[in-house]
Amino acid sequence: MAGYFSLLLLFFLLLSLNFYFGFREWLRPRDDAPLPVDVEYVRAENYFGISFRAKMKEWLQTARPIPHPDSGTEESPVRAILEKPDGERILLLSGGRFGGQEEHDELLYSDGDLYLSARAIFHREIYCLGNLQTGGHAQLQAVAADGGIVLGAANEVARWVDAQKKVLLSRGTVVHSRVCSAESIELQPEASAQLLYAPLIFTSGYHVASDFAGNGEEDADPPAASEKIPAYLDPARCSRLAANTWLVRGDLELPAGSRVESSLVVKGYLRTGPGCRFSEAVKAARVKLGPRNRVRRSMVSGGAIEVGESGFVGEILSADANILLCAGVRVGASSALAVVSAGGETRMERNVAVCGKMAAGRAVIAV
Amino acid sequence: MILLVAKVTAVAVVFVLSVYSLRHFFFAFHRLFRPQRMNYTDLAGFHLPSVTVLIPMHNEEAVAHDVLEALLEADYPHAPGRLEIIPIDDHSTDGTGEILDEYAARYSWIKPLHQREGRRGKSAALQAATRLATGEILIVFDADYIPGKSLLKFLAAPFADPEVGAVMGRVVPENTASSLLSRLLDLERAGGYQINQQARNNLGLIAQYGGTVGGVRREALEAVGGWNVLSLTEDTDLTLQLAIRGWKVAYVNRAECYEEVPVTWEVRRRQIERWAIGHTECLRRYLWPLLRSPHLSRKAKLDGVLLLGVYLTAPLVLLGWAACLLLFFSGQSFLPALAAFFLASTCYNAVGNFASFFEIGNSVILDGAHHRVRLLPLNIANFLFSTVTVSLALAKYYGGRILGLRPPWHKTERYRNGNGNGHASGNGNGGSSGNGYPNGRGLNFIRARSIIPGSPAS
Repeated sequence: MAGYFSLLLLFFLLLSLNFYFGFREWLRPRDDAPLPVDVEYVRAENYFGISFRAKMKEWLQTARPIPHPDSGTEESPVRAILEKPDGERILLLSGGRFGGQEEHDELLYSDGDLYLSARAIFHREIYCLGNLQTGGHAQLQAVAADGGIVLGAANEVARWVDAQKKVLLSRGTVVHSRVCSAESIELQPEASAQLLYAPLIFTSGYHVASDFAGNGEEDADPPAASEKIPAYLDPARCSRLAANTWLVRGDLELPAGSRVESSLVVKGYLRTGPGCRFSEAVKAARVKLGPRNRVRRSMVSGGAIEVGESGFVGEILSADANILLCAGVRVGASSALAVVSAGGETRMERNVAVCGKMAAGRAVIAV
Repeated sequence: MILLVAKVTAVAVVFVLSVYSLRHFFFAFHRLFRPQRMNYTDLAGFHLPSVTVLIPMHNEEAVAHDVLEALLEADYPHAPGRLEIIPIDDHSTDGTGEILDEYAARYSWIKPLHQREGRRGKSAALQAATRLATGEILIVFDADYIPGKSLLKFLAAPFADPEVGAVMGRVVPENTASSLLSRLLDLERAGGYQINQQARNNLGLIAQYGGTVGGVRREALEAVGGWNVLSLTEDTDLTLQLAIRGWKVAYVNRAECYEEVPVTWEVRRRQIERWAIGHTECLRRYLWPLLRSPHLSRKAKLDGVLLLGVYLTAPLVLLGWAACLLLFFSGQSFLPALAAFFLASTCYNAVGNFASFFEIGNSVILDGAHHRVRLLPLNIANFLFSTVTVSLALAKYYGGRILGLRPPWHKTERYRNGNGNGHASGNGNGGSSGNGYPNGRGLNFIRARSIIPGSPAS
């Protein structure tokens, strides 16, 4: 009997322990505020650059100068050193060459053009009021420049790059987060980043002076979608999802020169011949567009997308897996920025240009 | 014979609840450990279709200002033909109509619709407003919601995918501190959105359009015949109709919006009664079309069936308890499965119920809120309350069907600005008004609080 009551007591003790914390949190709440939702949030693609510049201005006002033996000498571009209240140091540079093959733990602020030596390692952010250039194999934390930025071969940036003018990512340079420019971003072969945002993003071989060919043609209103089942669809496998949207079960192969006037959803693999045109949005489980295809609006896939040579996409290119942009592909226009978004990798061949944003779960890579 | 029936019943109930438990566990583990589908958020701000915002309002003078002011500040382009707002004065008897007219006089793109005749209720109001709307995309907010500046962009982005017929954002309770019930509902919502909806989205199952903080493609809505004005849950109805006809419902976890949750148990009772009846009507209407749909995969159909049948688990649990008690007192309790079921049904920390609690607990951790997870055991109160309420509601529904009666539509009570007349269930919190809800916690209050260190706004 005693054993029975002991077990019962133990049971109620353990049970009440569970409830004890619940009752305590109810009666004396420590965490009863709503989950934070920032109703003021407005997305700014170059937020890191904007925020860092603002913080640097604040630090320059609050940090106190400390003595520096090389200050003002001709050998050193460091004209002063400031110390923030938390003990972190800011090197004030007057431009020129800086670095050497050593590691730097200070924030850098340069009011002139700055060249960072090859193989130098910078653990904190850099802000340059002029142009910034780095030598090969440099390692950086993050860089903001009010001019342009040229990252030398095989640089590695742990976080972001933000410039008011052109950014060049030389061969083999890797940026682990985002690259933003108010002007343009050029990627040489093997350069990569996770996100790129600029009015113009292009790979080697693209000539900035030449605008996208054929955009004017794309802007014209397409002919109205017909009521009849288009010739390229198999009536046994297609149905109307809505008045202007066709749904195809299984794969679809479009012959060269096909014109698709309605929105199209293909549950399987979509392959097209050369010179096909899509006036409305297209979705497929997997997509391979032939050369010179033109998609006026969006192209979306639950798998991978390959855009053939000299293809054009007007608004959105989004794939859950990888995207391949073959040579000569154009996405978006300077008047209407577009997005290329991949859950995996986006690979860009030579002479590819995108106006807007490129984002990838793993990386955007120039090949 | 009775014992045999009880045994069969208990085993059947154990089986059904086990399926639901596995579903909860699977969703939670998938959300925790598998890659997440977040691609549409990259498109926010780049795909800007013409949008009409619909706000059904029945006696909403306490909250109408806030939702309209918040939408005025939305960073969606206010160019003509790009954004219009249609607040619907649905047979209001308070000052709602005058407030809407005031805004319409100031902003040409706010076009109120005054419904004075015809059917009352949300779906009828939406149907009437849809006829006037000019946007390609219709985005719906309830009147007590406070959309953030970027919310419309996040909700519009998935429509770049031509297969997407509807989009659902995440609802976050704002009045969490009002009562024990509101705190428990906060946990429940977190589990429902952060884990359940996101996992369904990841897995290509049927994410649910929730009727508010969501949008629908006009073309898709027309293709399925518009809002079902006979439905008490037009959102579930639309979700099923879209899925059956091949459209996809996308869930955007990043599209968060504050809402008010019921503060009193009586208001909660009326809310879940409506949901249970509406949902069960959908089960009756769409179960067979769902199973026959050529557009859905087998896993999506299975999930759809479980989604439709979710409210039936409440009377099943009661039936299981009754069967187990009968078997226990007639000396049949040695059956391990029944013992497990008994535990599952009565203790929050056993198999059946634990799965959904596990889901909720994980969602709280994912949200970065730690202390509130301690309230989880008290959710047994919410569970028991829901079980009994849903069972009674379904009894009422089926009774009504036999008698040919239509269930009435009840508007959920608002509490903001001291409008509520219910009483909180007593949580001992100070600083609130007589209705258990602090006065004046509208848009300005949320704005002031939303300045989060490190956010762009700060």
